[in-house]
Amino acid sequence: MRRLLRWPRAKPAEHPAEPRGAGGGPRLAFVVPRYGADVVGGAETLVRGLAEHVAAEGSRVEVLTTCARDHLSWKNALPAGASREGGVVVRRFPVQLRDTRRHAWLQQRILRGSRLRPREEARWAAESVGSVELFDHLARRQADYDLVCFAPYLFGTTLRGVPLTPGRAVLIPCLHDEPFAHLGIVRDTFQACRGFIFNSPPEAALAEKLYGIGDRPAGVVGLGFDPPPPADPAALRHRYGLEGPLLVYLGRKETGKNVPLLIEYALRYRAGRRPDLTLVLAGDGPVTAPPGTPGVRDLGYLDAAAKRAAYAAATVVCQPSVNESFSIVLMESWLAGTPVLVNARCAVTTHHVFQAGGGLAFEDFYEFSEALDLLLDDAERRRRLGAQGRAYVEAMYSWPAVTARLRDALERLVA
Amino acid sequence: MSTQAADRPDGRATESAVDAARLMEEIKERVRERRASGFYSEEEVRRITQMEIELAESAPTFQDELEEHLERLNDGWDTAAEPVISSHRAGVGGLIVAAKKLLRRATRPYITLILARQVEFNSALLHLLNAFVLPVRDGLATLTRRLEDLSLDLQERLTVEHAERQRKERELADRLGTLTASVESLRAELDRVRQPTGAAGLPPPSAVPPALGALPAAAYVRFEDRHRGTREEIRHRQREYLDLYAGGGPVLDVGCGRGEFLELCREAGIEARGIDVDAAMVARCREAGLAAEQADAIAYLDARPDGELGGVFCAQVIEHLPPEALIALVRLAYRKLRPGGVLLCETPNPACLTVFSGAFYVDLSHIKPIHPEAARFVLEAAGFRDVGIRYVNPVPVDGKLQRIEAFWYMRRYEEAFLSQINDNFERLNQLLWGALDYAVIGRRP
Repeated sequence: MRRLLRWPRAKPAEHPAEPRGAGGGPRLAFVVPRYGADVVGGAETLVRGLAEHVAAEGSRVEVLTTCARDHLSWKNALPAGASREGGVVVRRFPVQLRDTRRHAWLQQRILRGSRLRPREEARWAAESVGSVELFDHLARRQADYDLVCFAPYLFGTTLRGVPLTPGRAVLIPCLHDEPFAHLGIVRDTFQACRGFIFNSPPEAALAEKLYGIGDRPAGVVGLGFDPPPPADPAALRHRYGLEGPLLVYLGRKETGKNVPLLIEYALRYRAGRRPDLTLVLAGDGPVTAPPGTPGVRDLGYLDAAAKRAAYAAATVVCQPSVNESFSIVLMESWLAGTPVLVNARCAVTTHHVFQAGGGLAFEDFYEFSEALDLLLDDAERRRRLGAQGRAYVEAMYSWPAVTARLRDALERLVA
Repeated sequence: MSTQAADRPDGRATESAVDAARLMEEIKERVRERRASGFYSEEEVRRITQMEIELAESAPTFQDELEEHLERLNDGWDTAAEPVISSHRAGVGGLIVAAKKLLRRATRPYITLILARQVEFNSALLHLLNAFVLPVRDGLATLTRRLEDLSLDLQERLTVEHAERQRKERELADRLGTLTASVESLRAELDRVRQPTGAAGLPPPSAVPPALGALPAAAYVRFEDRHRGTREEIRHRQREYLDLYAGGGPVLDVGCGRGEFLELCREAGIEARGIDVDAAMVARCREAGLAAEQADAIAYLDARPDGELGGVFCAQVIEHLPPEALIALVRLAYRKLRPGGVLLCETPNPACLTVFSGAFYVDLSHIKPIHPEAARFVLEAAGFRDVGIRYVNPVPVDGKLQRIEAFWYMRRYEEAFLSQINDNFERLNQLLWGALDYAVIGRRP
């Protein structure tokens, strides 16, 4: 129990500062709850991409993370200790004991919209994923890093880590408007940071609205993409016996991502207008249509190649979620040349769609139907929208473009 | 905020670009048209509007949680139900499954032996839980509501009572304050009264020429009319004494004043006559046909033969006399009464302090208040027996401090506090507003 509640304080560094990395860039530490090539998750993918590309440029980069691989059990699945992965030094620390029942209970209350007392918020953060050893390392060894970048905002590693590294903490929040974003402890975390790296301008605007970023340095960077290897859509259609136009959803199938809404809309649209349309769901998660529902196919989890094939095979990719800070799905869809249909209530996805000219947005079922009509009826229009999307990704989110923005942001953050 | 926004790329595809924003306008226009043309039926519109509400996740309540746990127990109570044996390994997987099945078959009888009791226990427990939890869940909701109501109620009542109690306490404090002030002023007055008069430093009263110091003859009649009380009141009060003189006359009324007592005696058939130093008073009595003459009491009594009188009545006189005169009067009265005769002297009661704020000092001719015990002493010293004090003319109840009754909700210490206050009131009432007059009554043995 004592171990559970121990909370290391920030201490002066015990080791003298080392010189900057060989490439002359700042010495960086990324703090994420999970890390690794086989770890699934938006923020995790983002941090791995950023860390590896900055390291490739010669900066000294370390990743401080836990031994966990999945974000549900938070079991210590990977060995603790330091290792080198993709040119990055990764230090893993064991996940500390948690009172998961208390955490789940508080989390539920937050999601219900109850106001928590500060003590309860702190308890919620303390029972979120954390590692005493990781915090201890942060407290003792922070002078080894010029900047400590925490991502995403929602986990114990960030909420408890930021206060330990005053003056060095940079937040990569991956923020979207959800009940957690309105907690006092989250506001405090944002206010304690030296600067920020955002994924998109709407995310930066939201942070400014909720917490007041002021004139602290902040950069909009986002995730980079390499040109994808060729995909084989025909094989995927053949394998799953898919015919006709496909409306595809890729990602976690959960209520928070608005998947039930998509299923309802798609089924109603199909019944009213296009009986040949198939809704294809791909990814993990608890939400799905009842098995055997005509017009819905659930492919479950797909590996990278199958995912690329699914993007390519899709007539339209739909992203109904309003909780996005970047949306990798959009970029991958465009790289496959497929237009997207997004929820107009999500500032980030609509920002991308209209900046790119790579798809359409819907506010309600009526607009959903009309937009699908426009897209499904005109192959040439689809092709052009997809091509515009691809051009946008290549210009804005190729790795060279992203690394250039990141370098620039880091320079300003260190200054 | 110094963000570096990811702006629209410059090198956009140049082949006849599709404007997504323009397409959105088109979509919105088409929705408007279709809705206007009734393309979407009423039923459909309703369904679509409700759709989002139904899909919104509802927060699980405590009751839902109870039900969920119960459901899980109901699913898993049968621990004897055998799990499916499988293996995820290809190839050897079949062998492993076969081996596991064999093992299970071999151990089943022993395991069942133990599990059967467990299942029985689980079943009984679950039945109990099922019978218990659902009513409890509903009861809990009702209780919670009721508790909330009650707590609101209680809060309201406490607030009201608290205000009421504070008001009462303020009232009490005010009254106590007034009392303290009046006691203070009385005490000051007492102190002033106690100052030695006519002692060493002061010129003797005889230094004032008698003609100058006397009031006009008729003045006292007017004064008495105004301050002593009406004839009727006096008659009413003095009727109480009449029975003392039932033994027979003659009765001498010393200081007969307007003659009320003489009148009463005449009506009761008792022989009586009066003397008074005030000629105007005597004249009034005579006008009323009463036997009265102007005389000084000491001189008059001294001139009477001993044992002549059946009674001596002396109301509101002795306070006009210096102590020696009082003693002389009592001794003379004793001598002039026959055995069994009664002497009665009525005078303001100095044991009632309010007398000093009114009755006593209103009359310039009063010389000295006489304490009941002093009067008793004087009578006894003169030889009277069965000397008693009769307190008369009490202050009406509504002129006194009122008792404060205890309230049902008072705490014990508050009641004790209140009873102390009431005791104090009682003492003050006796001291301040007791009987205004008393009569000392003695009988010659």
